[in-house]
Amino acid sequence: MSCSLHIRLLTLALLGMGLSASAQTPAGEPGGVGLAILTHKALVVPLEGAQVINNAIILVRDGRIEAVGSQAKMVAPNGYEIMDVGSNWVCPGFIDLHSHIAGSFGLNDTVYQTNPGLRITPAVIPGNPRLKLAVAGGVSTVLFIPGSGSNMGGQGVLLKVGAEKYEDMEIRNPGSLKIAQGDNPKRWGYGMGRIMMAWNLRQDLLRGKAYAAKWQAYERDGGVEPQRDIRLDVFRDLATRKTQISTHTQYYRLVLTTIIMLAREFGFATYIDHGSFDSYLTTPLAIEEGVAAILGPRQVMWPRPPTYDTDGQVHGSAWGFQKLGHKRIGFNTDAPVVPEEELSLQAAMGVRYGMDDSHADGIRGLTCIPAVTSGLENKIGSIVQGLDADFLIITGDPVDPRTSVEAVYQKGRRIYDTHTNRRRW
Amino acid sequence: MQKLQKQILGFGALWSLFLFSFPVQTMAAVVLDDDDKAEESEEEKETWVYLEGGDVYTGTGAFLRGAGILCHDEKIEAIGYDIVVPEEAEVLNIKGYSVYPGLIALSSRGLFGGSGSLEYSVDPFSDNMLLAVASGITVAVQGDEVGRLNRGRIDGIVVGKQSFSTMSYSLSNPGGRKSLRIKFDGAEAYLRELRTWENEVKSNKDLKEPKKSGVDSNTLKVLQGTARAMFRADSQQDLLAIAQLAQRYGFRPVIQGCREGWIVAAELGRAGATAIVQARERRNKSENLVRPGGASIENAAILHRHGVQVAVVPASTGISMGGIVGRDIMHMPVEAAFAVRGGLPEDVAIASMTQVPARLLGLEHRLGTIEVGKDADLIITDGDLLHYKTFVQWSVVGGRMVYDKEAELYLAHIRPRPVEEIAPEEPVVPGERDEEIIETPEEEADPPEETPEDPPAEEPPPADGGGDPPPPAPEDPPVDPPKEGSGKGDGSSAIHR
Amino acid sequence: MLSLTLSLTPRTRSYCEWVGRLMMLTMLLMAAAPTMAAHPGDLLAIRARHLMTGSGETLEHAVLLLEDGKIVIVGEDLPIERGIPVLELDEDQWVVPGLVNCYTRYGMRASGYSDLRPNMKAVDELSLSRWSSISGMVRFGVTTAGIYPAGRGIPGQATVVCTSPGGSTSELLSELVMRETAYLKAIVGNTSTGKRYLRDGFNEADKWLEKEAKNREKYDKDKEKIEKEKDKDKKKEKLAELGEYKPLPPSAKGQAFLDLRANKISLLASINKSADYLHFLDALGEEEVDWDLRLPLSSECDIYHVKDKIAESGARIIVEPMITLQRATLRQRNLPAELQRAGAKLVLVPRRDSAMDDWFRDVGVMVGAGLDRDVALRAMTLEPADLLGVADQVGSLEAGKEANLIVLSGDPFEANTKIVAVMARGRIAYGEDEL
Repeated sequence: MSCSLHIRLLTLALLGMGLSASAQTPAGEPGGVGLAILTHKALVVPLEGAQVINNAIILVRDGRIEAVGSQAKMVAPNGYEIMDVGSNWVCPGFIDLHSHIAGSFGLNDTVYQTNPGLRITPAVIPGNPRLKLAVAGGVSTVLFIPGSGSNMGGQGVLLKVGAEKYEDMEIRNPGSLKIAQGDNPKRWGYGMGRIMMAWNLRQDLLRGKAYAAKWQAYERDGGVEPQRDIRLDVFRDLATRKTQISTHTQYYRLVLTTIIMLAREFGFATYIDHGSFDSYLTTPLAIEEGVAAILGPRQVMWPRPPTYDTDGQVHGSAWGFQKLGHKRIGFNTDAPVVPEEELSLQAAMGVRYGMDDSHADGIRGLTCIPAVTSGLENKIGSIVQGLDADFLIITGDPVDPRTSVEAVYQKGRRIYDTHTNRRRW
Repeated sequence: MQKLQKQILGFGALWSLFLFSFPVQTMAAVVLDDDDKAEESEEEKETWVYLEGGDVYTGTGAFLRGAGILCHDEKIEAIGYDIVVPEEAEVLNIKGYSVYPGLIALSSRGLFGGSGSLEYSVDPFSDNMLLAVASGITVAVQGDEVGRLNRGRIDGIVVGKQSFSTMSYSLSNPGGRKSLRIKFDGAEAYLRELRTWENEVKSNKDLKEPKKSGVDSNTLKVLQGTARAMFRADSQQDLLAIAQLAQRYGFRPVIQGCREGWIVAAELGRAGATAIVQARERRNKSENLVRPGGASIENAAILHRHGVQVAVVPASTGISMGGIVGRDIMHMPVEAAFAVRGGLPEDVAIASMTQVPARLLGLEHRLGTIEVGKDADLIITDGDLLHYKTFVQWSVVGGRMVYDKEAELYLAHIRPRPVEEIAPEEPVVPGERDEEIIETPEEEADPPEETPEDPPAEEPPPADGGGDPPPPAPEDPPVDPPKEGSGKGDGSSAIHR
Repeated sequence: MLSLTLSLTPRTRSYCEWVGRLMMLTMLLMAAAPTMAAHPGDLLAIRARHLMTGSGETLEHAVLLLEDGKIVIVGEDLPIERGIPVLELDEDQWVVPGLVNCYTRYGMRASGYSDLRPNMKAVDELSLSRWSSISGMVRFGVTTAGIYPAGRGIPGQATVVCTSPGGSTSELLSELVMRETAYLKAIVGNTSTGKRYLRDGFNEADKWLEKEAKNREKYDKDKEKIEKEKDKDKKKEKLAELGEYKPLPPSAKGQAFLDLRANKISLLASINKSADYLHFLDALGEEEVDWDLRLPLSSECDIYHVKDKIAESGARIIVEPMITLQRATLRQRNLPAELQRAGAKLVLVPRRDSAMDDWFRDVGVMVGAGLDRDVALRAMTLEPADLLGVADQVGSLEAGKEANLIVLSGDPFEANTKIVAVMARGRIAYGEDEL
């Protein structure tokens, strides 16, 4: 038994194709031939339906998943390059919806108490060492967001991690509007309390909503073009639900304001980001308002009386959300608080501290749940037909820290391979 | 057989060799040695604990399935299958659970509930001690004392003292290097004289013993082998220098940190070094460096391959209740699991938390493995120690049951032990169960077995056939029936390499 | 004759009656005797509807006869000889023994040292000027107090006083001090130094003993030498010179520990948690001394781990009447009741010296939460008296003991019950106008 990954490239098919345009382009990438991956186990993790296909075949073409199925029922079409990954598994690339490491750390421009106009994009540094490490940890997509120094830190951007150029990285901009509700933004100015922060936030949300409504009316009915306010522009995307509000929030009482204020009062697409500790107590409300729970990095609540009510047990946030019936539980790192490449460990710890993973909930929380949460379920997060071919070749259970990521594909392109690269993580 | 095979796979195929050929230490009969104990028995009653039917990972190469372990007072009295158990023994049926040697924390903060010397400040009822035994630690170093987590008692806490001679030999301090060499030279010269004198004094009794004054006691201890030299070093240059120094003077260094050890692993191996590493150490190499540098996830594995003994330690030596889990001393197996990710064999990863630290502390005759005569420091888990879902269910420290997961509030609610039968559930590969529980009615009507009505997916047309996309895959991808042999064998613990 | 009554403390009603009749005879005789009649003012009878003796009994229609500041007889429905002044209490008033606060610094300096000073004695701190504040305790019903020296580590030895403010000022102190030294206080909790000091103390004692033995040996040798002297005069001279054996002056620090070993005083170890208890036992090692425990209750307190061991040891444990919250779960925990149920001898002290007026009410809460009434009162009276080594004089309403008692406006453990009057050594020390 060889200890390394066997990627047997059966390039026989290539011979018959002639050295036309596709000769230079590796299989699976846009412009290249199709790629057929044979794997012992594919964790396809669609939103609904069976999560695992044993002895699977995955067809990749033009950077997208073309088809997925069992080897017993499907064979690779002629001309496809066949890659047999042996006993390795295949799963979608991980998605981290709370990350600060895709660029420089000047993320906390706390100009005002709320800064909806700030964009994070100028801070992005493609291919930086931390991102390279992240790739080796299986992370293929991150939501790069401003810090939580101010109440509304600005607009985040959804990025593909592996690309070398910014144009190739960007999936959606704005990726989200970052709102922070923890203790960090209290430091703004002379220091303020939660009541003041919420009051100020609501003012801006109201203003933003009115601004978006004005534009909507103009686009629908014509008339005088409203004056553009780059401070509030992001609310146009929010109003049309093209983007979401990612809320840096943690304790129960903070998450409560997130849901009540952002989702219930203003009706924005919102999700709990950085959900921590006892945030799970909001589950009934979160389910009612359709708010997903992305948890980390502090997702375990130790008994800490007398500050918080306790029954003496260690409660995992994921355990709590799941127990109370929440179906959309994901994980984040808040990198560099927890290193980006340890995203899968976040899921492992969620499962360790009580989450039931018999329905692949751990791996779903790294892939399809963050995808659907950020509105990218038609692009990434699962291995199903039509989605980007963002996947990993791994040595076993993706959540297990012992499992090593052997290769990472993004849009069908191999961006990391322990065969050709030095093993980074 | 299925189970057995899986287990063998779990620990590497090597075990299968040992499994049946290794001499199993069995006590045919236990003879009670009452003579010495009679006087004590009034105060201290003899304790017998019998762990019945567990899968015993001894750490010595033997893996005993469904074996018994009899603990008598502080020691392991017998391991095997035909053990005569005294009537008064407390018997615990652990069928289906695994037994490992207790973990040894090479440095710790606050596990003993106090910060002063163990004898005076240990709080054996503290939450920290509870959490430490709950995470599998049975012996920990605090300060320079080696203590046993003897929960509920204050006697028998101190097991020994660390005997390291801490030294520094770094490129950044040439003066320090020189002075250390001079000290070694002095100690070496003294030892040479001493040996000569020892030889000659037999014939000439007037010869004076060479004077010890002026000889550095630290280095002397190292050269005499009574203490091990401990260095804190990370860069490859420093590591190389230490390895050469060690070879020059003939001692085996202990190196803490050892971040770039993987680059100079061969040299460290030649020096007989022991490395205390964090598996998740991170440091990118300097941008202007051409040769390899920085931290590597493979560090532990590479060091091990070159004969360096590796002890894996977590990033934080205390118990962290801040909410971030997986990095503190409560998660030593997680740290070791990352070493496995880097290629360290699983048995070596377990040894890195048990045997290697025991050896480093000079306590390998008492700790680190499950053997007859060694201290009864055992942990009983609900599965593979290195798996992220595994919890310690019971801890035995010094022959006493000091922890039962179900009896303490902290973790009892997480995957509680089945009430009916004692065996834990078969570990389930995440997602695996999905294939069995398919809830949509269509799928129930059309079971995911291969049925003739469900034609195999059409072959997509050849790629060179033009821009025609291949036919879409069936909406619900057909799913293989779970194959017992292939699907489960790799389990959650399997790594194929 | 009085000694007879001492041994015949009423146990049951019928028994009481029998004794009562017998005693009436005695009293008649006494009344007739001219010596007794010379001090008619010293006799006083108290008739109370309810009386708790402190030793575990509650009497109805009780009669107390006091003489010379001592209790002569206690019983139910005893007839009282004409001529003896009778104090008739109201129907709803209760009589209980004067309280014994065995662990207090009321009225004393607050600061002290924090090392090994076993030779310090609280009694040395007492002065007439302090007395006015110490006697202030009496209005809270405290008639006997064990005053400990301030400080941490091993701060010294406690003294036992009667808090009565009366008496002639010149003799006050010597009259009021009941025991100069009662217990040696050692703080073993929270720091490792307490354990060390305890060991150091016993080592000091050992060192002194060793020195003393050597000294003695030397003396004996010298004497032996002289004995061998043949010249009788010289021998005599030398013997005279040598003199009688003089033991070494006692070691300041070691003496207290020698006293401990000789059971002249007891040891009171202040602990905070279970671990401290184990450390304390470890520090004691093989030493055989009388010891009791002091445990300040808090939410961190985890004494339940060793409650059975404490019960087994027979030591008394001083705690506050307090319901605590268990830290891990915030669940309420009645540690005093738990200790008592395990069989430990409970001593209840006020939560703070400044909260002494809440003492009855706090204990009342504990009784409401399930602590036995008699145990509760005993924990405020007889048990602490026993701890202080003065149980033969105070702590319960029994014949022969000092007439220390409290008249309460109602049931002692009812929340709105007030102290009506306090009697110390037969003298009304507080609330004279109320009676």
